[in-house]
Amino acid sequence: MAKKVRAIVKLQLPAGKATPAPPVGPALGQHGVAIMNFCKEYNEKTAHLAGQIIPVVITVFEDRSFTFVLKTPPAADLLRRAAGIEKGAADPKRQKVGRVTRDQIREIAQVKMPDLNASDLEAAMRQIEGTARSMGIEVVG
Amino acid sequence: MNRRDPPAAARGGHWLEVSVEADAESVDAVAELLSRYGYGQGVAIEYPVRQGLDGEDAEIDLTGPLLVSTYLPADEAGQAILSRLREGLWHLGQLGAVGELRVRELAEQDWAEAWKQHFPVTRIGRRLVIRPSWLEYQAAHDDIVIHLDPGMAFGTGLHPTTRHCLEWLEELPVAGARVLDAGAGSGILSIAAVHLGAAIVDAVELDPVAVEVLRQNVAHNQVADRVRVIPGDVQAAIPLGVEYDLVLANIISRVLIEAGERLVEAARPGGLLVLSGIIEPYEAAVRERYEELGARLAGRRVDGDWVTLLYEKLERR
Repeated sequence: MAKKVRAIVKLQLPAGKATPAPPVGPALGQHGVAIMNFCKEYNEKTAHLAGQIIPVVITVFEDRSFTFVLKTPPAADLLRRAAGIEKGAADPKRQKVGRVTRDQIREIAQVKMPDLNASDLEAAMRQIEGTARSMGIEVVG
Repeated sequence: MNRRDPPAAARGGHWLEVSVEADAESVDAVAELLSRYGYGQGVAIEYPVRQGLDGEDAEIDLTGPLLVSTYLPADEAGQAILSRLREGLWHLGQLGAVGELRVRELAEQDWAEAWKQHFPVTRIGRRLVIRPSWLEYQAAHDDIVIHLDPGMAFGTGLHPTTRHCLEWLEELPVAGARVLDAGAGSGILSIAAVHLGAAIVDAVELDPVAVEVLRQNVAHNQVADRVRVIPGDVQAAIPLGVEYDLVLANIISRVLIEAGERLVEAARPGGLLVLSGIIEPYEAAVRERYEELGARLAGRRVDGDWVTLLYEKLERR
């Protein structure tokens, strides 16, 4: 059917735990998406990934029907795991809260490659390194 | 569901929506910061969209600004988090392009039930009524009620292209007809056709998710005995050897043109084709193609940019 897009919204949510509470409710409700319907579908498709943040990109069409695709976990989430830290630095310019190796950056870039707007692995690694810096994570090795 | 109880203020239903614009480079860092403070680690990113006139090739436009949002309870705790968030954003601003922080208060009723307002009981044409499951409707004597909840398949009845097709269905001789619904989506047209007396409907749909929704809707409306759901591409999946009295194709101009030969072939001589999903600038090209294929224009509906064409397949010469 003719499907003109009304909005594209990405949500970062804990896998298997979408509820009509924020951010799902307000972010999708304003576009007229059937919120419960989305939650049910998302939870079904991500139940086996519990414990991770699984981003989802929702396309809302003009007649308010929708579709979605799951994405790889956010780079920040993968970096936190790699560095073994709970959260990034409040002042990343001066405060360093952890470190990751170049090899770890490469691994994360490979995982994220399908979702990054990067021409090659080197470019993807630069993006991941940028995210690491903004979190106060040092890149070593 | 093992979800945490919302914070006290949020239980009263009041939230702060905290949003900031970012570019493609800084969006990950901003999202990470917001997820650190936001309720349930949740973050929403709204993308600018680039698309063709009829929605073809829709894609995210990474050159435009992205809006990153998270949500906090509108209480003292929320205000304290907000000031830490401001501080964090200031630090991020030292490293890349980050916009102004925007805060607005939201009440739960703004979204919890509000989306349902987009889906009222909708009357189309003279007899067709589309009813979502959460609304009551007292059907009048000759009403035809279609039970349909909005979801993961196009065709809620809200769009002009769907509405046009339903209006034609009501006017055309559907009783006893063999009908092809090419690009069936939610199945709304197939269900309506059966209720209007179609003998059999073949519903072809490519998207596997939509196929599931289509099956459910067909079952829920108790028309499964007369609707055959056929997964697959419009060109390849249309059953061979069946001559349809009526072909419904609510797709887009490009596909209508590419699949034109197969669609016209599927209709019996003298049979009718309803072509929808056409945007006005592409109308001439669609008309040229179908005239070339031996069909005669028999009607036209317009609503805003959207055009729906009715064709009659000429008898064999």
